[in-house]
Amino acid sequence: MSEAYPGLVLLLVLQVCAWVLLLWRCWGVLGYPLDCKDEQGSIISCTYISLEKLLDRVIQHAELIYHVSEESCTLFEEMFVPVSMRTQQNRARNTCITKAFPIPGSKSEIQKISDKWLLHSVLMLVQSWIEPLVYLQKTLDRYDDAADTILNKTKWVTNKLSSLEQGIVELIRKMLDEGLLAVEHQQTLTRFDAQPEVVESILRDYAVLTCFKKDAHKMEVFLKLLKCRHTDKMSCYIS
Amino acid sequence: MCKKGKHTWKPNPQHMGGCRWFTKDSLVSFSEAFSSKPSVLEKSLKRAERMKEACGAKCVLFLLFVLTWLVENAGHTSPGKPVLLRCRSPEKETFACWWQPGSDGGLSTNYSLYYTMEGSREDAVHECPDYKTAGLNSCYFNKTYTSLWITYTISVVAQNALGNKSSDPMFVDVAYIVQPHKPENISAELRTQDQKPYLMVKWDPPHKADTKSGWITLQYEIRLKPEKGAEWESHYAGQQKQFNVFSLHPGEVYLVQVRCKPDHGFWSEWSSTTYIEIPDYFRPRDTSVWILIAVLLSVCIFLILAWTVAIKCNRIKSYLLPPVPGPKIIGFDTQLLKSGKSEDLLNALGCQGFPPTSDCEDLMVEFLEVDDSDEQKLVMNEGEDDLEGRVKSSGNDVDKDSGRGSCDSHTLLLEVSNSSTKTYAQVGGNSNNKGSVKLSRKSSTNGKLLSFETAGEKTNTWPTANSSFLLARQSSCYNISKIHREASSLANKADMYGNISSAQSKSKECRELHSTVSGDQKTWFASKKHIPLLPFKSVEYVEVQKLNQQSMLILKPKTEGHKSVPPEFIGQEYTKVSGVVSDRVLLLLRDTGAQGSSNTQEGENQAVHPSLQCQVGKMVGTFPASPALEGMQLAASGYVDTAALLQSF
Repeated sequence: MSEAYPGLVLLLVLQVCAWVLLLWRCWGVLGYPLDCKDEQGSIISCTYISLEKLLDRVIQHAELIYHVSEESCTLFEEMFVPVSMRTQQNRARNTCITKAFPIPGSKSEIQKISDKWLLHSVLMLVQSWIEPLVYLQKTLDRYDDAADTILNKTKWVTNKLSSLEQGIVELIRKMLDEGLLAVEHQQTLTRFDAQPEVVESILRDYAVLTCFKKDAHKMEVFLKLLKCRHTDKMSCYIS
Repeated sequence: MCKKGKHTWKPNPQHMGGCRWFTKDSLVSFSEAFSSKPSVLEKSLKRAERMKEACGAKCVLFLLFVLTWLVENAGHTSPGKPVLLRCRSPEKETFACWWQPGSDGGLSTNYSLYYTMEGSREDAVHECPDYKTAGLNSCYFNKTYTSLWITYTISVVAQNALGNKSSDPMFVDVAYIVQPHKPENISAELRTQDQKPYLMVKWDPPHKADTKSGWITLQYEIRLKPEKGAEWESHYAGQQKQFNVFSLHPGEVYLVQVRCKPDHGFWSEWSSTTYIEIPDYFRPRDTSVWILIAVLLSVCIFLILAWTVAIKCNRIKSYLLPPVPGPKIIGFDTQLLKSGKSEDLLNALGCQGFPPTSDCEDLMVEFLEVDDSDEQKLVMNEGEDDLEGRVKSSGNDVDKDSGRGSCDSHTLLLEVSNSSTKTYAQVGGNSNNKGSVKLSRKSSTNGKLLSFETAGEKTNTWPTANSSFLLARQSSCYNISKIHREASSLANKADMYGNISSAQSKSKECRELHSTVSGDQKTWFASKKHIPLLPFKSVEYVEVQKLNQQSMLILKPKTEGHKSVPPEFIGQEYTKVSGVVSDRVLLLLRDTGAQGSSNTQEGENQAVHPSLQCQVGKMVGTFPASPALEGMQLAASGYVDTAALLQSF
């Protein structure tokens, strides 16, 4: 056995080397920030990302978030909301959380909004939804296993929302040259009871999902407008 | 004011006797028109009765008038319930709603649409701003009235003289009801790539959809079919505004249509059809066709070749692989060998009379000296003198005989018996002999001398012979080995085959003896004293039968009249004479089947020539003569047969 030790050690060393080599290529994929090019064109390890790329990524995030939230809402409606209650006053009775800050609803009005306000609006939307989604996850746990997909989607959306927030902050920093501190998420959902009725709970969750879907759509639209303004200002205002 | 339940009603000015109420999100018209009708009838009837009672004709007329009025009213009803069909927004900036009217109840009915907006005051009911733009039974909301991300509650109310009816409310969020118009300016263009045609279809988005600013993002789908085809072939084009279609059938007319859809919304209608004709073209042959043709051709050729080969198999075989000729000597007939006539064979070979003929035998016989007296005696010390005497005599005789013809060889030291035809060579040793055995054999062979010697304490040696000393150990073996040795040590180009009967079983010992005996005379001398003497068993006799044509000395064991002929001497064996030592000593090889037995190379300048030279009658080759040999005359030992070898055969 003693003779085999050097062989074993050598084998081990070789394996480690092989793994290092293998993972070296994947190093970037595993979480290292991606290669970015600065204005000079050289690739540097990334603290810098171009504005176009950032905008594209942010828009992708927003699109995905909206898509998933739409799926969740539809699923929830099919699973838990009886048909008779789907189009009823609950839909209108809900007070979406973000009603507090008015966002214009027409294109003309929105186009009048400056970049700054657009960005800030988006950021505000994003930040205001992180907490409710976390709460929603907790409430969804109370359902049976049928809600697992919705729960997973909600978790996924929460994660994406956090990264979207980072992207927006970065955008603000780049486009507006502002520095933003991390905003503390307000506790806005303490008003909910600990043990609500089932029906009310369902309706409330449904309301949350629909409201979130709406706000996700808003984010997406705003960001796309922003992108247009960034690329070609002239054509963006022709309508 | 109307009150029903906990809801507060507003009186309906158009409707007597009925109430309708509004809630925040629903418009429900509650009509009591029907319920009020019977009460009117009842009243009028009662009145009629009273009138009847009061005044006759007047009352009847009045009644009639009232009845007709009632009948007229009974033919009309309030309108049926309208149904909201859909609301759509083509570009996410405006939207329109359409409804389906119910029955009009025989009266002119008008419809009005009311909506409330989420977030506004609960009782802020608005009416449709535009009934005309979107067509009949529609309501169009322009930009100022459209707000995204706000839920509208919309309902339609049908109204006629007798009543109104409200439809079920519809909840609308403009962002989710987008259905764009059809794509525009569809163009299909035929292009070729690598000689293959394809269709490039281009289009524009609907002009109202604002895709440039990113307000709305559209995805497209294209479909086409041949004019006479049954099914459409759809392709999803993503967000691009052109698409390439491959795999078209030439000579056909294709129909192309495009439609679009926002990210989340409804598909538009299919656009107007565009016709495009694919012209006929010559399709260049694909390489696969060529490959197929090549394969078929090769298969055919292969089959033909195979058939040809099968037919002409043998000829081809003989052509490709010619038969290997056997070995053949010109002028030599292998049949001769088979027939066994060696004379013819040798004549063919060109050896004329090479092997000594049988008349040599006679010659041989003549010159052989017979030594009867000591045939059976094993020579010991006392025998020496005899031997010496014998040798002398023989030697003298030999001397005399030297120089004679080919058959006059008396250098062969053989003890010849009295028999004229046979010569015997006594090869033997006394069992008690201390190792000295001498074999002297003489025969008048062709210059071959076979000398045997005894070696013992006595220095009865050949002073000259290099390797002519035989050391007697075992009887037969020893002697034979001697013969071997001498034969092998002689350098001679012409070998003679001696026929020595030997005991094969003792070959090993003989070799050993070979090795132990050095060819050097001196060493022999030196070592002779130390040579252990092995007891001898018997005396062996070898007789030279004849000298055959091939100059072979045919020896055969003497089996007649000798008692001590060991039984192992059976048959005849041919021993090759390996050489002649200074024309006097015939060294026979021990025939062990290999040339290698002739391994005694005592003579430093003696080469063993195993080949038989067909020089009949002539001694070919030179014998490297050792000086000692030349002087090999009758030495003190007396065993020297210094008869010169016959120089020629």
